[in-house]
Amino acid sequence: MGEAFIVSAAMTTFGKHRDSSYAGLGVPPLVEALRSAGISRQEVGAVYCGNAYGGMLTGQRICKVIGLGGIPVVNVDNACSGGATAISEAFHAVREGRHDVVVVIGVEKLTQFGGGTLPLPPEDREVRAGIVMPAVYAMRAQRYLLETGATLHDLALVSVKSRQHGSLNPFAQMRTVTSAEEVLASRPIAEPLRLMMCCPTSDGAAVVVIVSEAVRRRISTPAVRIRASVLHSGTVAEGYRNMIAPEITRDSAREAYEMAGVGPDDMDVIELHDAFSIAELVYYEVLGIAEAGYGFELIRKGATTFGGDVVVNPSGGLLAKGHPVGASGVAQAVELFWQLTGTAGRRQVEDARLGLTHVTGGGIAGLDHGSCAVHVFEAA
Amino acid sequence: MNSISSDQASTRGESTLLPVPDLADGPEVSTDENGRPVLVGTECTECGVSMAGRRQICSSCGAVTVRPAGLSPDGHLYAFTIVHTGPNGPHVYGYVDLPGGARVFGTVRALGDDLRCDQAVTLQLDGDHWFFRPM
Repeated sequence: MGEAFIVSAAMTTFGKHRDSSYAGLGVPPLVEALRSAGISRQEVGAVYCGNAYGGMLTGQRICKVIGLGGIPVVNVDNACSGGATAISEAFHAVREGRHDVVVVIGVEKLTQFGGGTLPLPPEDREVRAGIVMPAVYAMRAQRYLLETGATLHDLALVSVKSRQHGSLNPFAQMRTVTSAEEVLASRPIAEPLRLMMCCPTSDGAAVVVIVSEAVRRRISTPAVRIRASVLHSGTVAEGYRNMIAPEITRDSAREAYEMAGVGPDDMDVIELHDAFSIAELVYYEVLGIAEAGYGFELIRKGATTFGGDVVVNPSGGLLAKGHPVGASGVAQAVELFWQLTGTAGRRQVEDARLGLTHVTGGGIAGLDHGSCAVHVFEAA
Repeated sequence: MNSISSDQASTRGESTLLPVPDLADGPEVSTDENGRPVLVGTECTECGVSMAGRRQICSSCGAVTVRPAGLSPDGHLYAFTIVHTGPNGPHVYGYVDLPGGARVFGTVRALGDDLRCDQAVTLQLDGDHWFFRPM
């Protein structure tokens, strides 16, 4: 089994791009990623395109604009894990020797729905009963505040950190710093979550080019080695689930660490799924950088911002960078590519050599999350 | 012509296989022998687990020997939230854990602020709409 490397990465700014179609979003980072790796259209062996709401043949609608066709194009939905699922498939395709060069696109245009919460599948029982993603995370927050020493203020501190990081990221949707007071005063969405504890409605696209060792050797620019790629669906549970200790992330992360031969304390930088600020605190715990029930202590201590033990979401995360559903998993890899190649500019994590990305996709009855994808990357 | 059953003829080329008409399941509530509203559910005769809604397979053990069984009307409120994003103003929803193993998401109604996690709640009917309220 060969190795797989990311040799280039590009993304659009995330924001409200109402005048762009999925192709309008996806083409610029596709062109930039190929250009910066010095890879021609002819060399691309396959394309995987993560998206949840793009409709039929989204990947092809993007690739045909640059005359890229003929090759296998696979469109991937796994809700918010779609982009990372596409990376996982590309990783396996390259390692198995099926292709030497694979392009991964993550793209989403959520402004097509106006504003409001993500449309969820109406065939699902809980969706018919009125469930929306903010309600899921609100209940997660409620249990977390009940079962641990965390306070609502801790949830606000996560948003403050994400905005602080976002202010350093020209690609982020939300780039103004904020205060805990402002976060707590923002309007209620699903209590106890306020507006600024929720990721915004976003459009955007991100692309990484994944290649075999042979191709990597001829590319002189810095690259990133993919050390682990893990994908899981949620365990089916019709009844009780512990919403503050989601097993899908814990199990996926543990397998990723094992696959890479590292541990949580070896990570210099993490991009995790902070769709709502409660998620970050819960994920500190199940990703293994905090003890169960004590994730809130990390945000209070500043342990997860610049200068801390591990920088979490230097990009601003989903909260500040934005969360175009199918794009996010690839955008996390783009951020880690920049971090691990020393090209992250003002938000560079010092001596970043090893990093982890994590996304989950939720929204149907009987599964705490529908999917989860975890990757470990290393400077190469 | 079965959908899912234990005497499966679907592998033979001349039989047919029908999908489950789950979009025509009918009301989500019925009444038990005491006239109390109960949520329509399914019980596995193999492992005993209850599931919400009409099912043909047990998602816990995989058995097809399942039978209709109303869910317990009484349970505990695992968590709840007041959602402000709907078209009709603030609305309280929650997860209710029922004996038998099902967790149900639905509307919760309470007077004032008397909701709390792990509270005992019971199913009520208001016309066609079912909801849980504290006992």
